[in-house]
Amino acid sequence: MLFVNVRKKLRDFCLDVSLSVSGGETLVLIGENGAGKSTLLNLISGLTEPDEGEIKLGEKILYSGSKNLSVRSEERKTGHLFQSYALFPHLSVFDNVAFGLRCRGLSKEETEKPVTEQLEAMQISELSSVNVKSLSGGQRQRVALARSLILKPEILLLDEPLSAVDVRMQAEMRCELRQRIRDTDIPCIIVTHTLTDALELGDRVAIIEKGRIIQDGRPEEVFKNPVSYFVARFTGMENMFRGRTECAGDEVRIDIGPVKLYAATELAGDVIAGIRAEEIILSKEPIKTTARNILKGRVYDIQWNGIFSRVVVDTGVMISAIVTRKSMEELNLYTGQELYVVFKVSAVHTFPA
Amino acid sequence: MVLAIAFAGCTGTDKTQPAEEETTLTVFTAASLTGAFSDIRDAYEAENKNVVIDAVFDGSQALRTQIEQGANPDVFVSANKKHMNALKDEGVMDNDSVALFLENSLAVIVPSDNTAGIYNLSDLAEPGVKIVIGTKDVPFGSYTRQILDSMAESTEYGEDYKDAVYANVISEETSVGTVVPKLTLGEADAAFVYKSDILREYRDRLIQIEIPAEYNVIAQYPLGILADSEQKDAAEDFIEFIRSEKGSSILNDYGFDPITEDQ
Amino acid sequence: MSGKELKRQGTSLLVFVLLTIFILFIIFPVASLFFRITPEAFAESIVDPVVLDALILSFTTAAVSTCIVIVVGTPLSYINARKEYRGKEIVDTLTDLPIVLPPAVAGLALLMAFGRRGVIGEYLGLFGIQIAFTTFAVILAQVFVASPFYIRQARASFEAVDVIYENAARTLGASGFCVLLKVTIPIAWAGLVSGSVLTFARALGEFGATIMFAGNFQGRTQTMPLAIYTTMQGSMDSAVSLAIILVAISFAVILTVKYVTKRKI
Repeated sequence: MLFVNVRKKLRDFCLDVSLSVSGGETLVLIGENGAGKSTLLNLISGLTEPDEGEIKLGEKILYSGSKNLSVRSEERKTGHLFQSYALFPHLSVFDNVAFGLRCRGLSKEETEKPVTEQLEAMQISELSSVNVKSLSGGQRQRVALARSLILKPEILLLDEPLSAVDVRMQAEMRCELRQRIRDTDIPCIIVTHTLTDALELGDRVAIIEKGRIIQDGRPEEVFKNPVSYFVARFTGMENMFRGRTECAGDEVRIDIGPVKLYAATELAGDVIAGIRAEEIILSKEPIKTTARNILKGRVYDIQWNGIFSRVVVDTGVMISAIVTRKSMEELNLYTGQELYVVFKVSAVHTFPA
Repeated sequence: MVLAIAFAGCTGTDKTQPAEEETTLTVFTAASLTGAFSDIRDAYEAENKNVVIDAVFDGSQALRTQIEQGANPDVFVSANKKHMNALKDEGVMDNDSVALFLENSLAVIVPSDNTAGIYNLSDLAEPGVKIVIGTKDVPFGSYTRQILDSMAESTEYGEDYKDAVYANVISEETSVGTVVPKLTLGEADAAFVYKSDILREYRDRLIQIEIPAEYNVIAQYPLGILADSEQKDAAEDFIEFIRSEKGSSILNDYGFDPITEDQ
Repeated sequence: MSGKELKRQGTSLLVFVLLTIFILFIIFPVASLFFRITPEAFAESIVDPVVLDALILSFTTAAVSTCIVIVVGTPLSYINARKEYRGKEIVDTLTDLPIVLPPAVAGLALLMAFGRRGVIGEYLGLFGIQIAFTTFAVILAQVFVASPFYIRQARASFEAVDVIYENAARTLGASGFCVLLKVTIPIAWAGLVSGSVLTFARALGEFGATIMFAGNFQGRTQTMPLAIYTTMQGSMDSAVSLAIILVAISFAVILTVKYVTKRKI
């Protein structure tokens, strides 16, 4: 169980993070550039020191501000993968993977077997004597992983592990990565700003903004109930509008200008309202429904990406809805067509403005 | 500048004295005599207002080459006999006028505070003494080696003396200019130089130790008039001045040993 | 041809002429050395003790000086490349100073410090330690004037090594020293080598400080440049032979630096 509770003053804000990751669990850390993600990884692997706090792995203290104790980076047994993998340019693949073992004092002969096995496990045996400069992104990721895993680390820290991988390879590599992490059974933290990474790799997702964790939970949770505008945007919520709450009897309405939305919210005053595109129903006629939000509009644009269509409807404000191919066939839409946009009160998420 | 001289010449001839025209004597002189001969030139011109001495200073070898190539000075003063003899053989000199007029020899100098306590030549062999000499290619260096060789052959000093002195050498210099600072800075205790190298401005900082004549190298300087000179009389007069008391005292002042005409 | 075209051609011609003159200006004096001596005379002077002694002395002292500079300069330049500390600007200026300081000034300064009556030399003399006019003085003079060549190059090379490699090495278990030896230096290698070679060349060619501080004594302090200066007055052949050897070494130095830096990893 990795336990982190640290504070560190950075240039623009103060990093103040408290989290824990159990053995075999993968925590995905999401945030914008500069939010403090990489710094947090550096604190855990010991490359920088917090101002105060505590970092523990099980019973072992890696850092304690109160006890004035800090284990040196080279003794922490963390596997830290950097964003561009930082493969040593002057060494071959074999020597890169063997590096940690050589530092421990093993001779060249003694590293033969473990390195060959590790390369085999990562399916890069044929690259053994190749210089790292000629490798592709995916190959480099495997080498970097091999280099860390061969040392049997107790914590795994991955900084944007797939950002340097070719887009076409990413899906495959993501799958592979997930499997390998599973196999290690140690706490793992992955830093990313890609939603798909978060959803596919993480057992838990934590969102960090300006040095603080603003939401922490299972991916579905975060997806369904984002706590802030930032998280909502990150999870792909498209329809975001600024507005003002107003009371209409028992109900709350949000005035977003041309249109008013019915929402269930405790916030008052200026808010941002958001609706997920896939929670919107389109209908040519006013349908009987329990959904309170029914907006009339005209089709403005239709975009098809091969799997589903995005229909943009002008209701006074532009609202995007995602529709399956089947539904598209049934609706038979065209630009300019009059349409009803329907969604439930519960589909309206509100955030402080 | 040229115009001024021309006008001076004109006004000169306009003046009363018709008989004495201005004579220019070109004198090629060895560079080691620069200081002494500049003074001699000034002194002579002061006494002989109608004579202008055009003194050219350079290495004796270079001056000889110039003469052989056709330069035509009136007088040649050489730092060694070799070059003068060569010109005599070539018939360029008025051989009767050639005479040895100056001698130069070496001396040992020590800084005036003499912390190493060197009072005579045998002290130079003491271990730990630091000596500076010239390189073997420059005259004062080659002469030093000759002196040490003759001291080695003597019974008074012997080979061991020579070896001990060489063992004490810390540096070999190509000119005397770098020798003296080493003494005054305290880096060296003694040096072998030409007596004429002990310039006036150094004299209060240095003490001179004589090298006995039986070991010392006497360098003899000849001078003479060129056969083709058109001003032999004026040249003779100048040479007479050089060898007179006045000239000799200037040369003495500079550390040389003039050879008087009856020697 | 239009006026513009004419002007452009004129400018190109001018540039070409200037470049040619400049290159000839460099080539001719150097080539003249080779014309001034026959191969037989060269072979003869090579075995002359004066020339041999100077050769051996120059190479050994320059090699020792270069080693000293590398051993002391590497940690210094690494620290300057990575760390900030109070007084860093001053240290930088001081390590650069010998490059602009006239060698004669350096020699005089060394004499004032380590000479027999020097600030430090005087005390050392009490213990019987003599520095000026010894081979050690030759090495000191060379270290003094040649060190900036290595230190500046080494620092630039270290700065060019991305910190991320050092970080990665540390997380893989390498201690500070191990990181330097196994990661930083190998990556910076090309720059370090070219810096060392330039330092060696500068040490080899050192004259002004050497002649003032170490003096001129065959076999002990008479390095190749000093030997050239000395033998010039007597045997021109020896001087020219030594000069030719130094020219050859200079070429070798330049070519080595080019080769090493081209093969940068």
